[in-house]
Amino acid sequence: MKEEKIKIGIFGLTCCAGEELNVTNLEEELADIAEIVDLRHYLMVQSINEFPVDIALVAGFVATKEDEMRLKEIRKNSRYLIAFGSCASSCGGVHGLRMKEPLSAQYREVYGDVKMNGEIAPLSEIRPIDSYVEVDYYIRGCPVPEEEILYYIFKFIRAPPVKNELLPVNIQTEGYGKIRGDAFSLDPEKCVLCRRCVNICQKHIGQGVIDFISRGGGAKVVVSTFFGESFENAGCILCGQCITSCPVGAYQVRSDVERVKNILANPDNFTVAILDPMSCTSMMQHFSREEDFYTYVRRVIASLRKIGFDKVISFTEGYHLSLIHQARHIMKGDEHEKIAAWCPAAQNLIKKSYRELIRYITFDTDPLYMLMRILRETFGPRAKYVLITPCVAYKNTDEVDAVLTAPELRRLLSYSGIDVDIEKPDRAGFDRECFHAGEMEIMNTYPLGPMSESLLWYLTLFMREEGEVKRIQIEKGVEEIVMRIGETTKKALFITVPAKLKKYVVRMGDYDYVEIVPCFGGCAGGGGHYPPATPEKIEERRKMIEKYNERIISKLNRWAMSRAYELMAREGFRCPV
Amino acid sequence: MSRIRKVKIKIDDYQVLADPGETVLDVCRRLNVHIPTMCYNPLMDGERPGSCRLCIVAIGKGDRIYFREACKTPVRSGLEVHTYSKEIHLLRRDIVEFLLARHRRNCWDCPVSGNCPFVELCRDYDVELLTVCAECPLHGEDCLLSKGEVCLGPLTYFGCGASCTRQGQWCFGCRGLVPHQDIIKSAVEVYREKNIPLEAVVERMELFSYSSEVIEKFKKFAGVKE
Amino acid sequence: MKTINTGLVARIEGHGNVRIELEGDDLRRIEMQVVEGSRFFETLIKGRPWYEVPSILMRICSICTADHNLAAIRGVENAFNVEVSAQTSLLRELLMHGSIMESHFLHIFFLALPDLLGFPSALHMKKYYPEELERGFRLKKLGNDVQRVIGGRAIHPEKSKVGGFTSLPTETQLANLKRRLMDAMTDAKLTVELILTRDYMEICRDDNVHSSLMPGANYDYFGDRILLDNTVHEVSRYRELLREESVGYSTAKRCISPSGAPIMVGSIARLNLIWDKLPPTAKEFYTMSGKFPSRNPMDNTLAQAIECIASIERCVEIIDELLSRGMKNEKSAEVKTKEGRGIGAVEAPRGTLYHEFEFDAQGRVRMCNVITPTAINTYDMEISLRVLVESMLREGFDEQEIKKRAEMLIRAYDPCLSCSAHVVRIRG
Repeated sequence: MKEEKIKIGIFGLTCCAGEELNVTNLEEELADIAEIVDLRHYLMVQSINEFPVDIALVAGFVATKEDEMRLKEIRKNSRYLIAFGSCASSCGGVHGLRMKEPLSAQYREVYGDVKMNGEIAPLSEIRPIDSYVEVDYYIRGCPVPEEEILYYIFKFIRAPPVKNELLPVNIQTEGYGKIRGDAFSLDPEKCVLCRRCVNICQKHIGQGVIDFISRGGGAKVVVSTFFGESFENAGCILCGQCITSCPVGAYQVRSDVERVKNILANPDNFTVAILDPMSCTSMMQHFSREEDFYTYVRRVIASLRKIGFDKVISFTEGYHLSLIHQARHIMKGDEHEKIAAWCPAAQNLIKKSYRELIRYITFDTDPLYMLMRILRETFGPRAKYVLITPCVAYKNTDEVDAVLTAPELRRLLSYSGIDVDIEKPDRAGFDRECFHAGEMEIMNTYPLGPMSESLLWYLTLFMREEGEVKRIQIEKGVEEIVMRIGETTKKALFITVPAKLKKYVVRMGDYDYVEIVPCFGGCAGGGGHYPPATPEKIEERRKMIEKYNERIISKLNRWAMSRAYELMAREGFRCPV
Repeated sequence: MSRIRKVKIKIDDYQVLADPGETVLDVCRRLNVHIPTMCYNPLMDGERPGSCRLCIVAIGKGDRIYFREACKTPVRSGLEVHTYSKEIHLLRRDIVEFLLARHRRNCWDCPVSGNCPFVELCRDYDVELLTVCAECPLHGEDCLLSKGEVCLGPLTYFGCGASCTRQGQWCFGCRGLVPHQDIIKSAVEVYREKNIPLEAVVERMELFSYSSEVIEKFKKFAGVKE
Repeated sequence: MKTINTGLVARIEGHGNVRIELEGDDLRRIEMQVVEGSRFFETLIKGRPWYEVPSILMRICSICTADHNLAAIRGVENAFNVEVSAQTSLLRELLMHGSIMESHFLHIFFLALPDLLGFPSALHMKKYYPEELERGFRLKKLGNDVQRVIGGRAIHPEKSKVGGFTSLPTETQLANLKRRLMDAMTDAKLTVELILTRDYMEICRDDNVHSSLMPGANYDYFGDRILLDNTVHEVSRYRELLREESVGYSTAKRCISPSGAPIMVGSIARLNLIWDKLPPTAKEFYTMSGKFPSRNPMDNTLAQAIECIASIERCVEIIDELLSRGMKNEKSAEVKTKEGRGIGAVEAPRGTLYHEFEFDAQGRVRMCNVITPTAINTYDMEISLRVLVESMLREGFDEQEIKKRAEMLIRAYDPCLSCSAHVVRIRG
């Protein structure tokens, strides 16, 4: 059945012709649209203009009798009349200012004694067009953005307009206070009870810190900890997945921006910024017009120097130190280094709910801890340290003086008047003089990636032989990884759904190495990124870091490997054995 | 490996094949048929919360039509689904209003402003209860109000993508001011909180909305003298 | 007596009608009636603060919105003696050129070309001239994108403010624009060639005076002095040079030169007066066309196409300079208000645009005066219509043909009737 094309007309009363012009700004899409619909009336672009039309988009306001007559003609000859743009939908837009003085005085000033023909003489009052004719829909804007025009054209092709009314809905706030924590807080008045955070905490993490609770005589239901206690007391591991999953922003991370401003404002302070390039990924996703992540990181480094940081260190050095250390112990088969300590949320999980596993983990091998030992040695105990990280679990750490998540970094820079996209990329990049040559060589030879791969690389260094990795999925969220290097086999357990850890407590003996990752997608899905998180965004961040790593590592070859090993053996590493 | 028998269903008059165990929402997402969701979390796609009810679709045909959440409807042979109709539009619109009614609108300090799902929902279902702040990615110390600018974001109809504030220019209110008293009241509160003189706001409002009733209401709530 | 009305002229900006009164075979009277309602911008802006002035006045029109914005900004900056950085000036010139390209290409492809090729609209050209239509979209989009990158939006650029810009384009964005501009040169040349292959009317006007601003070293659209044929004047004398009067049948006023002759501004005027400043490729096409200096208003479309080539060359030069200096995070220039007057004049696509303001000590508008290029041109349009209609009557053309050609003549001027109708004060 051949459907009739819908007839559209685009009209302008007295106006700047912005809406009519903006329709031509659809460029090639206008030509495509002209084939799907019947563009019957469009005075600015065609010399054949006819009635009737199904949908009339009317821009401008009624300034003369002539306009009024045209408007009534349009209404008579159209099925749906849509007020197009601010002049039509809200009483003349900027022209409304004219009404603060009587028209006669203004007219005399402008035209003097010349009398204008009745139809083009200005009307004394500007009234909205819905006071002249019935209006079926309002599209607002000055001008209406091109994307909106396209959206509405397709919307009205699909279905006739349903009038957008301002319904008298009252905003109900129950007066229920916030649930607080040291790192973040929850505002139940913003919560729409979508259940995402509750599901994550109960079924993904397994801690069940929050739930639907009845308050006030059972009438109102809110999401809360039991008895409204603080997150830390309720068993929260600070993974921050509730923060990134909330679609309406009910969770707010504690802001350290003021603290950092004060640190920088004091001229006596020697300030060190520890920047995790991963936090730059979501900043770039949300705000930047930059196309290359490596350059973007360099611009962020330049911006940090500009606002007053004396040194900018890369946090990934800490990860390397932690990995190298752990690899050596796993080679030796040490039980107390079995569980990876590089994720602070995983550490919290063990401390709070799996105390029986404490003997398998050494908390001091946390990357920040190891990095800070070196930095304090280099820059002294009185320097001020600020960590910039995508990890909410680091918010409570005592190792540094302030912790900034990605949104906070952006706010700090913007407050200081810096547009990161315009800053010249820093020539030198991160400061590295605090690391020994041997450490540097190691850190330059392999990028961070999936933990098992990185670990394998360091194991390979120690064994001086090539190795291979095999992954077997036991169930959803639990993987077994077998690493074979020469005669040695090492078995690892990789858990991405911490709620399932319980089953494997008894099987700790089967494995040489256990890794628990509470955040979706690893650090790319950390709680300190911009919410809300989606699989596409997380994937994009991982790809950005991969490309970044490709730029900063030297090529893998046997020569590099063996040299690295020699340096390691000669100079040693400054980490607790 | 045994062959899984596909299930034949109809979505918007198109025949499609689905795997048993999938829900209607899974099938629609796979085929890029748009259905609004909020409580569905793609990172935990095994979960079927069904709390927000936005994904309501019409199942059945003729007299025997009933409305059900797409995320909770498993596929079965011969199922007929309609994802959009005037009735569904009005139903979903009610749901959007209901969700908005229990959500405090402090977009100027909200971490998801600029990525808020309500913007798309309000636009699709013709609900005009949001302001420019919901689309503006600047919040907290970044917000132009925190920098002392008289920005009309808290009072202006949403929909422009906050194109001006994103680029550092305070909102002029060119789209028109929302004449809803709760929105006006919240705006008065936030201007007070950020120490913005209310007379300055009234002057700015006049620029595009000189004869709007919103100015009178604002003056009343703010206690601004003539 | 017989009256012919064209009705609302299609394919122009704004609403206007041509009314022709005939007595037998003689032309009694011809009226260029602008029916677009008056919007009284000069009086409604009184009392508003200085920082709102560009945002209000750029809403006079949507096609030349960036030009009103920049003229207003220069008027305010002159009144308060604000100095802006070199980076800001370069970005503003780029914005001007983007606006010129967008407006000219809109006119060439969508308003005028259908006449030259014989179609009711550009969209109808898709079947027979698909490449040309696509070219038109591409070139117009390029002009729009330059405005988007620098000004924030294609219509009503909010980023451009008194003192500077609220946010700056990145070097990547500028480099991308440069690449696209260089690719567009072929398209722009083909446009000139296309127009040269078409026939159009010859109307000889040797009674009028041409006017434009005198730019600096390059073919740019800012200037502090006015050219009236070959005489040079200070911008502050603009009111004496363009005497205005109202007529009851039109909401637009008209301008007459001191000698009583009609004034023409726009692309033809500019090419006639300052062609020596054209960059090389544009100059080549200027000479090659063989039509200049021109006294035929119908050459306007061709003149616009040549100016677009000049704009592309200048944009590339400006971007090169910006990139070699490197973009810097600058704050906008500080503004200290004081009582005083200021004039901002720019060459808009259709001709010279004047904004004049008087402020009080707090920086609020006490007086505002705007003269738009179409308001200057309306008298000249009427005379051209008279010449055309008289010659057509002599050669015995019928009413239909007279209406059609009258409309084509109006279109060639590329009038912006919304601009002309906002209108101006009467006392000098």
